[in-house]
Amino acid sequence: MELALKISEVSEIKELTRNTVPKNIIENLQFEYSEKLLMELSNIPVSRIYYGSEFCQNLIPSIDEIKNVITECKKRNLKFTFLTPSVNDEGLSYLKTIIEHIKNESIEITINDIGVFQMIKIHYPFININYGRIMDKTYHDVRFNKGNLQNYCNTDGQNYFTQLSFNSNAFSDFFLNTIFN
Amino acid sequence: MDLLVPVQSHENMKEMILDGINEFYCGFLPIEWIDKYGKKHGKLFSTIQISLNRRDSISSNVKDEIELKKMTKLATENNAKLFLTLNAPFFPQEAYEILHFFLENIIELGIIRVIVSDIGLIKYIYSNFPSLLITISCDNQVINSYAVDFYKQFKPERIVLPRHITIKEAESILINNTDIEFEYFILSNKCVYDDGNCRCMHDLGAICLDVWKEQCISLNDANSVDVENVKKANREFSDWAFNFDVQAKCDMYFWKEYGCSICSLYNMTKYPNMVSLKIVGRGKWIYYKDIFFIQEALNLSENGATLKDLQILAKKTYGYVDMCETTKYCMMRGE
Repeated sequence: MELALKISEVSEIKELTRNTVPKNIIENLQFEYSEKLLMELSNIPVSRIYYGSEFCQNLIPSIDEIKNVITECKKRNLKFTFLTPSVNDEGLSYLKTIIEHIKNESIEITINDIGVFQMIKIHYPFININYGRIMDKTYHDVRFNKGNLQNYCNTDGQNYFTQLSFNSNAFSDFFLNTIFN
Repeated sequence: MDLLVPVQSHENMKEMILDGINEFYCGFLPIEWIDKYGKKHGKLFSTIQISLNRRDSISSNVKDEIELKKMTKLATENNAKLFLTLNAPFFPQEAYEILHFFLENIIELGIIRVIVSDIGLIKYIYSNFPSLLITISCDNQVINSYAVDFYKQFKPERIVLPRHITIKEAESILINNTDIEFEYFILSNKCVYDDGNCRCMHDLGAICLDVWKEQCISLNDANSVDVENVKKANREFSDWAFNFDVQAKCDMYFWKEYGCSICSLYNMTKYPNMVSLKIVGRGKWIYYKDIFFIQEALNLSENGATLKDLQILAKKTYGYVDMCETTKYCMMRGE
């Protein structure tokens, strides 16, 4: 298993010490995770950088910004994943321009729009694709917590909510065949 | 261009057919599904916590197989189209056992058209039930032409554009895909957020319409957060997103709670592959006046009306002479 770090700008890679998780991130996680886990986390080297925008096409970085991040990743022997959001035709055209500039680099792309998936599959079939978190259509209603859900649903309903459509045979077979054929 | 109207009974359909409507959609839940996933809350059993569609109220679905059979018969006799919604956002593997029998059953009851969202289920229907004509749901977030290209492999009859799509985005898709039918929401609550990425549970109400208390908390330096400006920005966003009064001057109109987008017909009627205007349903009662208003606007637009003509009709209907200039009630948000 690899440890990846999502960054907002290139300076965050430059500030990495021996590719370990920055202290401020560990500190921010201390309320959610055990001390033991965080200690282990701080000793695992980061091996991959995630960069881009998952949620908004207006926040897609410029070609130069992406190239700078890739250059820094190479210097530090870090792998690179380009994050992409849901886009209209204009945004998709921009993404295509970006990919044209970085297609010869060793990269993978996270998609959050089935149109972006299709575009990469047709024009850049050699690029590895990740199915992004927005593609997961399970409910994420913030008004619910675990206790509420137990009161709200019967047992079958609670089990249902813990599953993904990705796990259905129809879904997974289709995507495995689509990606690998 | 046709109007696609929600219905729950054959009686309801009969009346609308007389008014010239020939496209309908509905939801239907099999008893096996309700038994397995339904939970009574108190004495009430009005909602289904996990639905086959985006209709979480049991009463907003067709009540039984006999009624559904009557509806499919009526559609066939009148050369009308009846679409069954099967557009829950996701179906895990365990759902497929019931789904398979459900699909066999609805075909026996005369259903020809289904609206589907989950890609796994789309593939399943395409491979195992080729007689069913698939409509790609608005929940699939088709906002670019490559997405249309992706779904074409399932030979869908139609694609529903998401509620929030702008005219410019829709036009680009329509121009690039003249070989497939599209459907467009008219006058509904054109959610400002991404339609296909909504993860809220409808049973709890629309999360985007909830009123939230503002509280700005700085994790670092309290002085670094400009609280007043954050609050102001929040208010301005709400005003922009939901800029309409809930008490319009018009009477009986369902959309007085939502807003107007009738002027979008000026652009949408230009494209022959934009075949249908969808009126939002989910069990809400559709008034005849509302339908007549859309029909009137559609007739105007298809007969060369200008944008201004449509705006005049909207102002007359809603009762606000400045509604287009002030963008009050405007669901197109000036676009």
